[in-house]
Amino acid sequence: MEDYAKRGVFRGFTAKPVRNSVAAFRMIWHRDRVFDLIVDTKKKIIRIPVVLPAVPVRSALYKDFKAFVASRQAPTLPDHRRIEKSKVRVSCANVRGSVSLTMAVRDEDYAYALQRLIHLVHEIFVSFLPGGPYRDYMVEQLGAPAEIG
Amino acid sequence: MSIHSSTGEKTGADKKGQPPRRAFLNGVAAATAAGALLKSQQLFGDTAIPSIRIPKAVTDSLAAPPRRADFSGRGITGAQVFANLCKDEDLGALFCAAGNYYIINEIAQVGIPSYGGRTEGGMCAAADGFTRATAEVAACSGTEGPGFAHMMMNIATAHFAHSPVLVLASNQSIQQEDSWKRIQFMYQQPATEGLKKFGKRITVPNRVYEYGAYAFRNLKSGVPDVVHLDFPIEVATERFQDPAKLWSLYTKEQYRSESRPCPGSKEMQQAIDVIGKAERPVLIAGQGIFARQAWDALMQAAEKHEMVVVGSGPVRGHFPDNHRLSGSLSNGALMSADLVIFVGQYHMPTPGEWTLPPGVKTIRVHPVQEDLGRNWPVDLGIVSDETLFMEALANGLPPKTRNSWVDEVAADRQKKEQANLELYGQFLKYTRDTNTLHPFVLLKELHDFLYKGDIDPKQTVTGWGGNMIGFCAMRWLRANRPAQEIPVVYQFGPMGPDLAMMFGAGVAVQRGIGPQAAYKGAPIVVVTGDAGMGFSLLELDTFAKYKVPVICIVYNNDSWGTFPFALSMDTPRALHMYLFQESIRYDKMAEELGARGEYVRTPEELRASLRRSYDAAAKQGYSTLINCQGMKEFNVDKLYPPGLSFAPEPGVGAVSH
Repeated sequence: MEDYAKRGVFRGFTAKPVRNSVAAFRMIWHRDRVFDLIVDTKKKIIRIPVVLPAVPVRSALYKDFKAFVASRQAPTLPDHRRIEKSKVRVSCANVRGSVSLTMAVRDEDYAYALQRLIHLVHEIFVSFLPGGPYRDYMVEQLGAPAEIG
Repeated sequence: MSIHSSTGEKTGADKKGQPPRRAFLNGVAAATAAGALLKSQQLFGDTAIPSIRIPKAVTDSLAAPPRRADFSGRGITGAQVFANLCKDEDLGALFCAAGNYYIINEIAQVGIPSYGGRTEGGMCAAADGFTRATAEVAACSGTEGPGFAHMMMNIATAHFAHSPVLVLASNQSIQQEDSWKRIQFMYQQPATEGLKKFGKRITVPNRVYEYGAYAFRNLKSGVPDVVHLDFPIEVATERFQDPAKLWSLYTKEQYRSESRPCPGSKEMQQAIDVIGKAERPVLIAGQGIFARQAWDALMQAAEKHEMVVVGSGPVRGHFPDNHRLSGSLSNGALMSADLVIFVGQYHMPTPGEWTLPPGVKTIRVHPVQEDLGRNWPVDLGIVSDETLFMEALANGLPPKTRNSWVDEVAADRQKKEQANLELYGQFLKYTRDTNTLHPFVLLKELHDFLYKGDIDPKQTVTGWGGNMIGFCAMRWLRANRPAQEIPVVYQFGPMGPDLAMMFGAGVAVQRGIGPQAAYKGAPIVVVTGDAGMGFSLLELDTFAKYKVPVICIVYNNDSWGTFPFALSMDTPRALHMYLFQESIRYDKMAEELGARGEYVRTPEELRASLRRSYDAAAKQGYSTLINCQGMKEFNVDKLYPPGLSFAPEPGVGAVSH
């Protein structure tokens, strides 16, 4: 995480002390939003509780989001892009509009899981959202300029 | 080289032997156009309004012999000293609206190609367009106060595009400073603060040559940008009979240097090693590649070592979109890069703005050391001229193939093109349902006409702007050779200067300058919106006057493209401010300005109109405005989904960096 911060991927990076095998990180990232990232080595998961805010469960956006996340595990993707199912299981959830992403680590390779999660979130913001019909959402919920989305 | 008409027929680049204007209009143009242009309308009794025509005085003036002033006889004025310096520097063109008389007159008289248009702002954009199409310096001019003030938007546009535009202005006397004596006095230099590389109000006549040298030293060295000089009347009219009175009067070889920074051998080897080890390198060919005309060396390096290349900047094509190594339509695949090499990227993005992996290893090559590390952390920064770096890279890299990387990029491109076609299908249904053109459908038709028909897909220079129409243009227009596409809105995002800017580009193509040489005389195309018409429609007169053929495609949705904001912000009383009268006939206005006009509502009508218009331009040199009727409701995402916004960057559609 610190490496990413040092390379300017995010700003305002802070790490809270590890408690009960849980490490928590906070950073300012896409659209100048605060992201929390939790690593729980007891549960063997890495989780970002709010990747996207205010997404209705029954919306086309959430449906597309789930499909996009699933597509990142497709065997047709090249090795360097695929989220390898034998190493991690990625899942998303929507709790009162807050969309989260969780990586369940299967082989103790936390570095791999973290790298794939960071890439996945990055891709959601630079590729999935701008490439899709979500201009209104980006303007209303993510603070994108109204004129350009 | 001959240029191609829409039927693939080769036509001569010169206009010799073309039928007279009347014969052309009788034969080719729609009856409405002919009627408007040819009929003398009866007004009162025997009084007739004559047909529109280019006065003989224009032709005579353009044919008048150039004259270079010297120190003999009555001597040489400050304006003439400056004009001579501009001539010696091979200033590519001057674009102006009448004003700043001493300066513009002498620049024209000394033999620099000069063009007078309808507004100072429009002509400033034209100078920008000329530089974008050629990588050469161009000048624009306006008078001291109002004319200069009118240029401001387009000075800023040129600055944010790093265009080497020389802004000239003034005509008033220093003696009236702070006195409110007469009119138009304005101290200009603070107005361009932050929008220029160098600026000076020349107040001492003896230093006019010295500051001219300052101007060109800045315009032709390092990273290009705007230079702003203003000439009070005391400077422009001062006479010199003795060269010794002028300070720093030495030649351009003495007041500036062609020396460029060269990469050190150690850091060059480092770069070669890192690139050689990368499996999926992406080279971002920035504006500096174009400005330094490094596209051949770039191509050589990319092909020798199979690197994926994406061009960027306010002019596109220095790496062709249709090349097998182009990543300009493969944003998804770019996320696989394990190394990015920025070369001549004047406006660096910040991490998170581009479709490149977070924290990707980075080499940046830039001619100015101070910019290395700005916005984007670098693993290796190299100070170098872009051409020298690309030549060293082409020489130093061993031959290599990267089949799986190239295949991945190609597959992603196909996916993107397929997605575009699926969107087109959806928007075509809206067009059929409403009998008006959705802008996405409009651009798909133009795309097929320019790149998939009988015209050489490298021939036609396009420029585009606007809101909704711009979102579509950025997805369909292509650049298959250097300086084939000009995204007018690059970085600064101005609305409206599209047509005026493309006058400068059109001049460059007509004269076959630089990368336009192979397509000398070809027509150009500009895509704009009805909002843009308010800014530069009248420059069609300038196109006609100088016989620069343009096909101006206007997406007419009777409103500012941003009108949905009045709805989304729940401010219904604001809506009227976004709307125009409906069904305004820009095509009719064009006819009254000496161009052809066409009005279309369906893809079939547009297709036929493009063919007629291109033929009229390629064979006869006539401009056409195609008024494409759309609907403002297409801009409301919820009514006609999906809504469009800026395309992912970098690549086709990139306008931010």
